[in-house]
Amino acid sequence: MSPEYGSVVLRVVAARFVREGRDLVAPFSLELGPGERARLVQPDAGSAKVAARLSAGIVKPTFGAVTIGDFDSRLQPAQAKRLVGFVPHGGFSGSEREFAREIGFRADVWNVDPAAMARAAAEILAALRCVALCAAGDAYARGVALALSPGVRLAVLELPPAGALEAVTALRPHLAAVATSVAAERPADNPSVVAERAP
Amino acid sequence: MNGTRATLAIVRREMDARWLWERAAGFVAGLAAGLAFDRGAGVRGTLEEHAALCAVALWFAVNGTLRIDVRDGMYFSAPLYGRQLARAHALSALAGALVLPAGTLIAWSLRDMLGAELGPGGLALPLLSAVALSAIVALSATPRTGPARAFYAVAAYAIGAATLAPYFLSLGDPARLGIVLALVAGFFGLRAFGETLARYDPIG
Repeated sequence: MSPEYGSVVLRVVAARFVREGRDLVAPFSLELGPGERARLVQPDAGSAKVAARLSAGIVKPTFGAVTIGDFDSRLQPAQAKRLVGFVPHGGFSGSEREFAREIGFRADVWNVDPAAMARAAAEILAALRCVALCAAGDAYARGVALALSPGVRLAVLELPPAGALEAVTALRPHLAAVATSVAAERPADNPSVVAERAP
Repeated sequence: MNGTRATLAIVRREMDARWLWERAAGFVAGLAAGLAFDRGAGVRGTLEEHAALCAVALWFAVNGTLRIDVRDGMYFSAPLYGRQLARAHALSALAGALVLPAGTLIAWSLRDMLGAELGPGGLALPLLSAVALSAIVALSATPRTGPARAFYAVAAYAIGAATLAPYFLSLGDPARLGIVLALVAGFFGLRAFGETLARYDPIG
């Protein structure tokens, strides 16, 4: 655990996302420390995407709060997102050249050494090729490499393929990790949230 | 965080090969229009010719700006503030929009007419102000869809035309009026765009 932050990497308190008077994401709460992982089960793909983006600080909750590290996603969005590696649904589908350009872009935005980031991305890609994740295609592995290469503390996987969450936590055991998925039948006691949580 | 490094990274990202080819075409169009309409030896283009040049320049500015993909998810997952994103998008929009008038300015300098066009009764400053302001206002259309997007696109054309009106109607000092309008409206336009990006939730 990094000494500059507390033991909680992601804290979601009754976060809810409303659009046009309708709950796209029903209220949910969650607390994750380093090395912990959770899966958010949602009723449809649209809600699962918004739930992932709420957890990554990309979408601001209509009600409730999302804190990443010590930073509120609404008040300090840039500091919060600096700690997050977000893997969009489908990963990164660009060409090899576009992937290299994206690495350079991220190095500039995260203000880190581009060569070090390219090395980190290559290591992640090589490691992921050894696991089942690549059965889902190179695009997802590239998405993971882009997301994790800046050296983040929280990985958020938006509707990942089977095995992705396990592959990411095996690759970076110290990371807190969240994945969203869709299930028609959700747990009755806590309808929108955590179906799985394992250290 | 290094704001300048991030800003330049966003601008570079938007200036891809297609962007460069389109701007090169705009530069050539501006150069050709300047050479064709202002014939040199003190013979300036007619008001109708200048109106045609301005219409093409405004279309180039607004259309080019509308093609900026500000909703790219990569921007919103990166550690950037809305105002940083707005500044960077504005830089690339302005650079793209000013390419066509830049070609015209070069044509005027080749015809020895740049001094006259830069003067109080010339077209250069009203044209540059109008194009820049239209691009800034058009940015507010980019995160939106449907009627709201169309409204901001029309507003961009309208404010560009309003900036050029003193030149075509021979009202006051068109150059000074254009610059003042561009600075004031551009400031508020960019500020509004930054706030829109800060509030924007990419849920699509």
